[in-house]
Amino acid sequence: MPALPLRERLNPRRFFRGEKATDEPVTLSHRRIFIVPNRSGFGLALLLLIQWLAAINYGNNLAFILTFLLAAAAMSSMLYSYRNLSGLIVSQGNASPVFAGDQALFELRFTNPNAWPRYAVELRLKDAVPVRLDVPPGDTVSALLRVQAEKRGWLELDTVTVSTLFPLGIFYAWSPINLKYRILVYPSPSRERLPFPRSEGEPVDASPGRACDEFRGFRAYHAGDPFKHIHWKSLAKGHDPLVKHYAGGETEVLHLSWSATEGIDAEARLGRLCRWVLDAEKAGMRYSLDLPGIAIAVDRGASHCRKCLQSLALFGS
Amino acid sequence: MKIGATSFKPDRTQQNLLLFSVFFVAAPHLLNLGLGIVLYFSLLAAWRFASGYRPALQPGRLLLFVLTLTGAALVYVDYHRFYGREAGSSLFLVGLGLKLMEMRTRRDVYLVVYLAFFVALTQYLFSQSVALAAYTLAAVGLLISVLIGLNAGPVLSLKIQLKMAAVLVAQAMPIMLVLFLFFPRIAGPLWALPDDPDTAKTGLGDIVEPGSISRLVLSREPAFRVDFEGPVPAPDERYWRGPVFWHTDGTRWTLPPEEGRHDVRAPEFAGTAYRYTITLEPHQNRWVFALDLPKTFPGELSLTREYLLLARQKIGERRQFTITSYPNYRTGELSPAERDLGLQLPDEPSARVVRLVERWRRSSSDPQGIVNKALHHFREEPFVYTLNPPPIPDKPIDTFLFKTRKGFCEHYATAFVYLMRAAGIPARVVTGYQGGQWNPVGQFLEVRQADAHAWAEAWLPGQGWTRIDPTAAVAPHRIEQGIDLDRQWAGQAAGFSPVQRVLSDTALDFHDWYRRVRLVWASIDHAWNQWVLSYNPEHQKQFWEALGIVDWRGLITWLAALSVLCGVLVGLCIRPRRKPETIDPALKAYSRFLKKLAKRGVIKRTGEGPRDFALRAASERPEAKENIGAITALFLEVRYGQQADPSDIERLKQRVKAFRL
Repeated sequence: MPALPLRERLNPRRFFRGEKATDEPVTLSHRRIFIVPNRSGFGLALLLLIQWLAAINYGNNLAFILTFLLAAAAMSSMLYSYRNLSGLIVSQGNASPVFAGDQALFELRFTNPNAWPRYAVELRLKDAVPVRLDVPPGDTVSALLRVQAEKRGWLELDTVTVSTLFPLGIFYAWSPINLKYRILVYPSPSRERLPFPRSEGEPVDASPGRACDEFRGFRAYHAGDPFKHIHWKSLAKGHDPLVKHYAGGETEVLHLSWSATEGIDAEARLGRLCRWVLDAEKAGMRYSLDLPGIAIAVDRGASHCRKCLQSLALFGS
Repeated sequence: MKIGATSFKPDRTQQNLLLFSVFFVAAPHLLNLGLGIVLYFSLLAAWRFASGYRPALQPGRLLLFVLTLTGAALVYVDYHRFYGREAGSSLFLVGLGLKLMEMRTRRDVYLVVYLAFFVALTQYLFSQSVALAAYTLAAVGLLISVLIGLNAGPVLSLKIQLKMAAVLVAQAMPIMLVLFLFFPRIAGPLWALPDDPDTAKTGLGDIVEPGSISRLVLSREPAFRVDFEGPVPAPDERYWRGPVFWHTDGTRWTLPPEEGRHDVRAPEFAGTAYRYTITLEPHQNRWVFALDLPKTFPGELSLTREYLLLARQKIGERRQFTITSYPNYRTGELSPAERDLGLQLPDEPSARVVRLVERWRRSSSDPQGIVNKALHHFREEPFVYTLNPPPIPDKPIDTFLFKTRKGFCEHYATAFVYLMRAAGIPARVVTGYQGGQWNPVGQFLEVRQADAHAWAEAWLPGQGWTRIDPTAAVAPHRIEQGIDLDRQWAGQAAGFSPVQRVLSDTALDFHDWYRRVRLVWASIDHAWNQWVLSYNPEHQKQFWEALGIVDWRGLITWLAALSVLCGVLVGLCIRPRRKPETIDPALKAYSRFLKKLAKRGVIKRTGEGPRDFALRAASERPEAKENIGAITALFLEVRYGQQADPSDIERLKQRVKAFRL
């Protein structure tokens, strides 16, 4: 871990926003872990104060002993809280692209290189559902943080707060973590199924009932696959999710271009193009994509599709 | 950071652990508080336990309200108030029970646990014994394990959870010790304590009448313990002075109202001085029982004209004083007022008494002679020293002297004083303790309530007030050996529980063993009192001075240094050894084999493989060649082989175990 300049070290933002994002795995250390009593902790402090006053008033030494024992246990528990986070290595996992409006899954991997187990480590991200995990010694555990992908483009992982209340729940130890971890968000494909634009002649009907009715087999589920293509029967049997793969028999060439979507706003145009790309790919057609400043030659296949979707996602940025 | 709203849905084990811990914490109060309160709390705890299995049993809002009123009413009925020791403790117990019933969120659990900690503290207002301290330590561990379970979630097994709590408490002990010794103490009380009228006065009372001393004689309770610096007085010199009685109405002797000032004429002291520290058990009076007669004593004590030491306040908690006494003394002249008091009689003595006294006066002219005659009378006539004298409803002294002739020390002392006064010699009754049991384990003298005693003092010209113990004339062994409690118990056993009978069984071995255990236990208790319970602001000041702490700067330096030390120690403790816990059993067995060889000087070099090492070891120790080869082959097979069998590991272990050089 590189040394931190003094100015940054004293910056109070560090307690909540953490240090600058890095590509590398982050090791939680004393510099990154902060610890304060929580509400129960202040409650305990109040209890100890009352007990102390009672001990003074009655001159009762066993009462002093009980009070000091509790105080001492609370102090040691602070070290336990710290140890529960200290040394954990946080690294990033997969970054599968998603469509705007879907949930992006950030996968954080927690490695425990030490000989003691970590209990009840909680991850919080602004709006995401908090995740609780336990990391056995010498093990790595993944946590998935679900974030609603609102806009197309890069979705950066915000500050993740790793925290714990273990062991007594009277101290809140936390560490804000910033990873250079981003997920590409494709534009949301427009809902209505429009016919493919035709450079000449009749538009091709793109409804899946017609063009994509030929069942090609199964493939593994990727984030963003339409729900209705999931093979629920196998999922119910406890297998990994599979997706039914369809393809049409066309060999036609499509030229999808920005200019073909005139009359609506830019995002909607991208959405429409996105829909066409997906439908064309699903139908097994060959297609090209023309955006202002970007031209992708005619091709087909997953990587071609990804390339097209990526340029749609990043269009204008 | 918000945890308050989180609801509490623990599994049944955690819930039952919590209930058990709370009940465990509250249990010692069964002895202290009224039956109604105890039953109320037990009922609520049982109810909560049941509703863990049948949620329908959970009480609604209205029922809870009724329960709350019932609890408050129970406390009021029992104690007629809501403050003070008993009522306050009861109120907390009631609150704990009620909170158990409406434990829904995490915050409620914390409230229950904190309340339980406080209930544990209220128990110390009733007893501060070693046993209770050990008990509370276990209780604190249990409550902490509840919190650990609550925060770790279901991954933790109950066993690990309890172990963790035990380790945490053990690690807290040194820090607790530092805080106990160094955390600045303030002399209490901070505000007036509500006086507790229920506090039973134990020990000697402020009247003397038949039965007032003998009622104590079966009490094993310690009255005080004494550590001597230097010589220990002989048993017949161990008279511990308590209140002195002048006034009698013929049946009972009473104390005069307390005077503001005491002008004491210091006696002349001679002979051996005994210096000692007395640790008094609380007895709710101001008396400090010094060895007859005290010369030097702490400034907070005052000496009455009767040479009784008084503390400034009632001794409501254990206190310690260092006193010097001289058994040889000579008090001065008698003032006219004292003479009047010392000759006071309720009415004219009866004809029999007058006849008896006249006979003594005729045969001896000086007071000392009359005293000897009286003692001779007690010795020669058929007087019996007994714990169970017959009740004397009317004219107690007359009847005792001439009819029943059976009595305990208070009978002899009062009768003797009466006779002296009738003979014109100023006399008074002194109560206190006599004797005490030497504890060879802890090297201290333990004086128990059973050692309570009454004796007489007569004023003799030339000597002043002289102690005369008529009991010694009747039952000399009482003074020399003290009360043999065990024999007394045995004599009384018929009326007591079978347990007491068993304990006082005359089978000598058991008796002896029992006595020894009691001695050890008494010394533990005394050490506890001396080292732990008597630590107060004064002792803390002395302790700091011994360490060279004179101001807050010194204190902070010490505190900081010790905190860092404790922190480092705990830090080292909680960092487990680098070795992973689950080590390959084959490797373990092999390293044991290596250790055995190393003991004989055959040490495996780093970088040397098992095969090479086996060859070298076999050449160095040809007699074990076969075993070395077999163990190495087995180890290689188990660790690196393709088809290792679990039975191979067992075989390897056994071979290593049997391996000898």
